[in-house]
Amino acid sequence: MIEFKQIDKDYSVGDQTIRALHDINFQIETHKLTIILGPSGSGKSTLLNILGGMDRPTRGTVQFNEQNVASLNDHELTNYRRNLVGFVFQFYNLIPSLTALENVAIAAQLTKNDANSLKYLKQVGLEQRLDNFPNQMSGGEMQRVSIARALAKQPQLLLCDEPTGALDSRTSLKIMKILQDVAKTTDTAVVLVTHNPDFEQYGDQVIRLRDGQVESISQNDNPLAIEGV
Amino acid sequence: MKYLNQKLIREVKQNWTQFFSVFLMALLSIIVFVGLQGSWKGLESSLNHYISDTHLANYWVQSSSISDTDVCRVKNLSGITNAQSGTRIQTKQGKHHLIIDSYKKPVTKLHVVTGKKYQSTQNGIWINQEYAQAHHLKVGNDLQISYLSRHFSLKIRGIVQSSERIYFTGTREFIAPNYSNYGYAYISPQTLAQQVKYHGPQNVMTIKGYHPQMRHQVEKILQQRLMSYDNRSTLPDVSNAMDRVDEIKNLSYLFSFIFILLAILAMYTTIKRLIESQGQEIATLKALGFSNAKIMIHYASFGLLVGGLGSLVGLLVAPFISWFVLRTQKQMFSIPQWTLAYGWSSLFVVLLVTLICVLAAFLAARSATKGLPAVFLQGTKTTKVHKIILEKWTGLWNHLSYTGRWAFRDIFINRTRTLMGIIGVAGSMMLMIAGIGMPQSMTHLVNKAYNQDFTYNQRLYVNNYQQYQQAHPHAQQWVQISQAHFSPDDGFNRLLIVVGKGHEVHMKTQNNQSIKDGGLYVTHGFAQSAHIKKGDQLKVRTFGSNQQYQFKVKGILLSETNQGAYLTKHTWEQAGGLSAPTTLLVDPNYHYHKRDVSSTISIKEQKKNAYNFVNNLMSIFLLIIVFGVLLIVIVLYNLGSLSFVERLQDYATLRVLGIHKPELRNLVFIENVITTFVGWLLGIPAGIWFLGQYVKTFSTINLEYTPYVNVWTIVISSAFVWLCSLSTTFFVSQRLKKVDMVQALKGSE
Repeated sequence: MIEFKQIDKDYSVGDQTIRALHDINFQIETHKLTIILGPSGSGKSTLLNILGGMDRPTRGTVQFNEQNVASLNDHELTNYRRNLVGFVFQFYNLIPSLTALENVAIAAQLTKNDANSLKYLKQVGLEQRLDNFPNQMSGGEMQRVSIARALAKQPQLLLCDEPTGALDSRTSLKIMKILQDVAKTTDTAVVLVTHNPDFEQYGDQVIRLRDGQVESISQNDNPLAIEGV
Repeated sequence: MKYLNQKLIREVKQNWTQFFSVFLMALLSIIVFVGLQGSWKGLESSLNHYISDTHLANYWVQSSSISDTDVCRVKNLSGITNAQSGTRIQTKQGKHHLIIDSYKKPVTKLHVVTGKKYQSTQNGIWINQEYAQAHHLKVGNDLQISYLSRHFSLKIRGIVQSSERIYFTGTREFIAPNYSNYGYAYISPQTLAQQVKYHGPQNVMTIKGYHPQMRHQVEKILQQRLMSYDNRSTLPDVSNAMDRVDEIKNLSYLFSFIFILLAILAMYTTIKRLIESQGQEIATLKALGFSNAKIMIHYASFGLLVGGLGSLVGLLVAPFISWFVLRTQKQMFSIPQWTLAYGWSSLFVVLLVTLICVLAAFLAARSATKGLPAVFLQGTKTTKVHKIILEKWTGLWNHLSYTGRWAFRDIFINRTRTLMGIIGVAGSMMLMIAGIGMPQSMTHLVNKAYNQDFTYNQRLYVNNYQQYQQAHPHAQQWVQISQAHFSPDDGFNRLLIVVGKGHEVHMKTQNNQSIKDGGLYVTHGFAQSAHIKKGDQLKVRTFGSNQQYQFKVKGILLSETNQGAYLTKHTWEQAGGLSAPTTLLVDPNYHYHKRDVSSTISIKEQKKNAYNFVNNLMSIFLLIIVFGVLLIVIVLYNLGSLSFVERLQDYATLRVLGIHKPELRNLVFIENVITTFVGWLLGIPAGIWFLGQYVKTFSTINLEYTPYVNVWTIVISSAFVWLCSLSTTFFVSQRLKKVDMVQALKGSE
């Protein structure tokens, strides 16, 4: 579905050129939860930015279905994010003055799908909190709204940037379970970026990064299913 | 502290646009207040010096005759230190009018510009500086003068200025000086008798000192011989100069009030938000072990640096503004020495503006230093959001788009930000309406007076009414103007204008009625200050007569010029009044013999003169409009910019979610349009009210200024404020191009 081919990314900082990513090659497939794992400075965020159409690689191609995302212009990239990609942020990034339902609906509206906003909130177990504002919810609840918002666009690719980074371990497991379920039950490919090695057991595919390069890619035919949370 | 100071300077450089706007706002506030103060206080100080140096008289009396006994009786009044009688004659130098005074010992000392000092025993003439300049006259020149049918030549002995003629219009028919057509001069009693061959009675008296019942005493002493009585508040030649001080002073206070209020609100918010945005840095400093006091002092120094610097530069630039304003006044007022002067209040305003900036920074830093550093480092500060009142109207609310709901909730929840935006726009509208409305009101006064209230082409001053009336029984509209003592009144003598039949006087009452027989019509300004209402009984005694008449007030006239009362000739004669008009108002086709007329004034000349008066003030109005426009742009841009910065995180998130830039720009516009709309709506009545207050401060005893706002004032002000507000939003929204989506992914730090 998505293929990274010989991706390089260079940044200029002052007089220096820093290579954030070098010769990255991998594939991401639907019905799978891909976990990108790596310590700070390994290039995870840069990779996610390129995947999400927020940045372009210096070299290489990002093949999404039939098109090369790396060659899209600004308008086309916006459409790519709008129609094909869903985002879940570490700090949720909900609009503070919209209720849970409205936060989902404003994103769903982008893909003319706002009639089903309630369905996605139900999917993440928040049907009781529809009229609550972000400041009236816990971190876990806010992250679930954030997932519902991403799902409401019915994306082909769901990108999650440290989605459990600000949550306790029990809530983190709840979020992981939701993401696992999404990967299994929908046509959405889920990509999760984390520095926490504990999560690699839940992924169908684990891509390990170190110093801007792929250290290893492993396939997990029987990822650990999260139960009882 | 060394490193903290380095940090301070670098941060000011980094956020220079916002700091620069605070700097500019402080600068503008100080320039307007201190600049205008320098000019009005300078004018006041120049006047006071002039008045005191020349021992300006306190009372001026004109009478058909004044004897030595009259002068003695006045001198004997308590509080009176000097009184001198003299003679005033109206002469002509070619086509121009020259008013000549002759005193043995003038009460008011003349200021000699060039030539000899005035001496009551010397021949020749002392002429005023402005007239001499206009006609290129020098000391030693001979001046050909005619008086009645006599012609004589006088050598110019000196060029002088008189503090009795600081604002010399020559005649009350003009509201601005007309130095090329009207001059004043002094000759000795000896010259008056020998060369002018005037052997009539003395007719003027100048009095120095203060007596609480002076008007009453003068009326008692001179009785029916009294023609006019003035003090420093009513003699236009002096009072106009004093009034101008008050006009610029009021202008300074009124505008500075709005200016400083707007600037302070915007400065306070800007600095507070700037410091609040440094919450994490403050937490870092706390974590490093800096004490709260040290941190607060450090951040307060942001306010001190920017506010203090703005105020200081304002203080340095203000004298240029003072000098500019004062220079415009030099064309109107005849004063030998012009100086700038400042009061303690200037220093107070400088300190206030600086203090507000320091206080804003201090309070913001104080709230940021409260609590544990970890709370700030975690970046867990959240906005308290709740449902708003609009949501109760579910029908309306459900029809709103999600972005609309977002905008409305933001407006209701971020009350300070919204209020600042509304006050900013409303204040801008007030400034614009007053700025544009004031010259418009003045121009309207001139247009109304000379196009609507009076439509004559010329005023003819006829030598002999009886003869002329017999020869021309169908002459056009006669007008009899005399100074009168009304009871009750406001303590000042007013004009009583008796209007004959004709079609040249059209002023209307509040009920849109013309002047008709059967009563007295009081002008609005006089009615207001003397608390006279329609239906009241008013007693009138004109100067030159001992008879008192009583009339019922039939209406209040909406006339701005010549504050006093009007009545028809028929009503006046029915009450027993004597008709002896000297002024004939005629239209362009009227033919007359020059021999029948002593002088003429055309309405064109009057209009031109009145426009000169308006133009003289125009530069001050323009100055205020320019500063107002600058302030509006800065305040609105600043508020728009801050509002944008606060929502940057949300905009970045929406960009990541796939919202296109034009869609996001529309979103930025929605909130701004709502705030601008409310501010604009409130600003219209507030602006009209402010203009009314502002215009009122220009009214004098003789002229009543009324606010005039037409559709164009509102349209131009609205267009400008909307343009500023929307273009600000447009420029701010240009920053959407630079919204860093990656930043959104990193979380709301």
